This record gives sequence, structure tokens and C-alpha cells, in this order.
Amino acid sequence: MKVDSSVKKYCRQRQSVSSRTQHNVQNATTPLVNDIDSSVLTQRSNTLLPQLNPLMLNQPHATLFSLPSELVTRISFYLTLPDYSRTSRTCKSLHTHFQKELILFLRHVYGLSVRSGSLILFAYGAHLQYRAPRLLDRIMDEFFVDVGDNLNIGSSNSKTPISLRQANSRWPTYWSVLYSLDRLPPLDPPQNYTPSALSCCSDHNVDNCNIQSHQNISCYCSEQMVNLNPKLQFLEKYASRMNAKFANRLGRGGERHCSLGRRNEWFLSDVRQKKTYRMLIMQNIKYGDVELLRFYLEKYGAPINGVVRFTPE
Amino acid sequence: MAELKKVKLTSSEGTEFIVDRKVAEKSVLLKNMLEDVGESDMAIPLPNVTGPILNKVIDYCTHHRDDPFVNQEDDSKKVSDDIDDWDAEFCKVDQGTLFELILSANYLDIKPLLDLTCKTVANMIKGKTPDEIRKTFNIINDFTPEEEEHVRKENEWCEER
Repeated sequence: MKVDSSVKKYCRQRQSVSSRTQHNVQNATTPLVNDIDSSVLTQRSNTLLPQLNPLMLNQPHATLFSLPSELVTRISFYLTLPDYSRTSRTCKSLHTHFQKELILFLRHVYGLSVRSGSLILFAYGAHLQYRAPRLLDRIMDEFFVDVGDNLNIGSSNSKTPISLRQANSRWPTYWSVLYSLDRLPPLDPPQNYTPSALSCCSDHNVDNCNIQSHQNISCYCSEQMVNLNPKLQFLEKYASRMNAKFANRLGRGGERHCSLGRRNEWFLSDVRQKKTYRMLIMQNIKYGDVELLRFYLEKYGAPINGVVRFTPE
Repeated sequence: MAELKKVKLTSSEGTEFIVDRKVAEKSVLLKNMLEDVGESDMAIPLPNVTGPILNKVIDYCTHHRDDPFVNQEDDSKKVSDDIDDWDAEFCKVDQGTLFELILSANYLDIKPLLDLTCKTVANMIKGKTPDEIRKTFNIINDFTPEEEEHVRKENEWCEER
């Protein structure tokens, strides 16, 4: 290599300036020299590289902040969650970037998927409804989004609008995540949990509320929710989002529209007809979880051909 | 023995490097360029890469010239403690050089080098407190004390799991 010795010297020079801050801009005013013979440049490269290179006039030395955001994200994929968090706490720009990319990080590093709902289960286990309600909302926003949310165009070979068919294609996923959540063990609220510290509505500032108007549900972090058990609280939030999704599409209550009724399509009012719903109810009866049982029955009613009565004892 | 094909690369300063084609082809960008250009003695200009950095990149590609091609889509589990001795020594450079190597590896599309350099930066972060990370990378803490406390609380769940 022609510049082998210059490399070592150059690297040594760089080490001597590595303690500068990222905001320290070199005062290089040497004009750009055009048409310099490459051999001359090679000879001069021992000492004048930073001055001769127009790219380096603008960027005296690369730093973490010189990297495009996708490369910072790529580096983050090799971190653990605690290291990721600690890096995001170093300054505002990294915090903004790392918060924005947190879902991507969880998906990539932990192999979780928003689409399949595994990230929702992770969120439950990680107490995100207490610890990071905004993140939980972002996860749910992504989970409950449909490609055709803003479309309502009929396809040429079907009477069913595209958005409705896509919603129905996601119904089994939504339902199966609810079922999976039901099977997860109950959680205790995390230690040192102070609702006022993290609740988006703690200061009664409507602008800060996590719940957006399009979500069409009541705020889950309002004070009356604090006393619910964690699992029920999470299920309440999840089911509210799920039901609101279908209520928005199909009219109030998610009732079936006569003209749109098709076999294998899921409607909110059909939940009680599903075998898995019956299983879910039976399991909660078996384990005697009255709170959860009441929650489901109030939301969806008794399974078809089934009668559930609560007695005082 | 057949003579190895050589290709010319020109760094941002105009410095010319002559390398084996096989070495150059560790870069997906160069491989595609060479296929596009066909048989030619013309040097390939790399205006985004300085001579010293290109020299390091060539060192890396020469050492790993016989390594199997890494699938671009291979997103296997990311671990950063699988760096071999030669690669670890290769990455013992100052931070400026390391970040320029990342930029160059990304530009030249050399995935193993990009992975190596990103892992090296990740290893510089691991196990450190926010303050230690700031010191390592000369990051200025621009949070107010209140903001810092809020961010700490917001991230508590990540660090207690």
C-alpha cells in the first residue's frame, strides 16, 4: 500500500484529537485544491490529510453523531435492553432516537413481533401498563393498525370492502392474543409503583393523555382503574382497543351488517359463538377467577347455549 | 499459476490503490460496479472513503478474502462477544477511525465489516452508566436535572428486568 506509513501517523494524529467534544469544529480554512496530482497528494498525506480532504473540512472527525440514524439503530441491535436504555439516557438526541426505535429494537433483539401479538404479551409481562404506558400505547397502535384502515374501496370481484376483509383477516389474531393473555399468570403491580408518576392523566392535562381521539375509548390510566388487578387492567385495555376497532368499522357495537354478512367473517357479536370463547369461560370457572369471568361476560355475554349466573357466595 | 486480476480503487484524495479483484469483491458495491464495468483498467473512484480508511478496509478484506459470503438477509441473533483476535486487534483504533470505518463499510456494503465495527461500538457501551457512556463518546448531557430524572423513571422498566 502506498500510504501505509501515513495511515499509522494519521491514526496517531486522530487519537490525539479524540478527546474533543462532538461539537468541536476544526477551524480549517485551507481552500480546496483541485487537480492535484495523486502522487503529490500521497506524499503530502502524512501531515495534510485533514486539510486537503474536502469531506473532512466539514467533518473533522467522525463521531457517534456523524452516523446516519439507521447505523445507530444497527449498533443498538448488539446492546441489551438495559444498555439500550442507559444509552438513551445520555442526551436528548439519542433519547429521541432510541425511544423512536424502541419497538424495532424489541422486535429485532428479542424476536418479538407486533404483527403476531408476541410484543403485546411481552408488554404484559414487563408491566408496561404501569411502567411505560406510552410505549404500550404505541405497541397497541401498531398491533391494531390495518393496511386498509383508510381505504374503503370495494374490490372488483367482491362486495365486501377491502378494509372490512382486512379487519376480518386480523380478527383471529386479535382474538388469539386475548386468549393468550387470559392464559398468562396474574401479575402483581411492580414494586415502588406510583401511578401519579407515570400516568398520562395524573396532572389532569388532557393534552398529555395517551388516548387519542381515534382510539374511541376511555382513558385506562384514570384513577378508577388504579385499583383493578393488573391482569384485568391489561385485558380491559386490550379488549377496549379490540372492540373499538370493530365498532369503528361496523357501526356501533360492531354488529353485523346484513348486506355484509359472509361466512368465516368475524364480528364482535359473534364472539360468544366461538368455541374458544366457551373454553376461555370454562377455564375461568375452573380456576374460580370471578373478576375475569365477570369481565368477559359483561363484554361479550354468555357463550351460546350456555348460562352463567353469579350467586352471592 | 494464473495471474490474479487486479483492480484500481481511488480514494477521496485521489490516492490510487491496486488490489486483487477477489479482495475488492468483498464489497458488494465494488462487486456490482466491477460487473457493470466489465474488463477495464479504469480506476473506481470512492469519493466517500479517505485513503487511510480505504487502506484499513483493504486490510480487512484481504484478511477475510476466503471467508464465505454472508447473506445480506441473515439476521441471526445479534451477539457482540464473538469477535476473533485478529478482528479485535483490527478494531483497536481511535473512535474517529472506527466511526469512519462504519460509514465506509456501510457505503461499500461490506456486511461483515459493518457488523464487526458496530459490535465494537456496542462493546464500548456495554455495562456502562449513562455518565460513563457520555465520557466514552464525548456526549454532552443536555438534559435538565428534571428531564434527566423523568427519563430515568421512564426507562426504569428496561433496567430492572
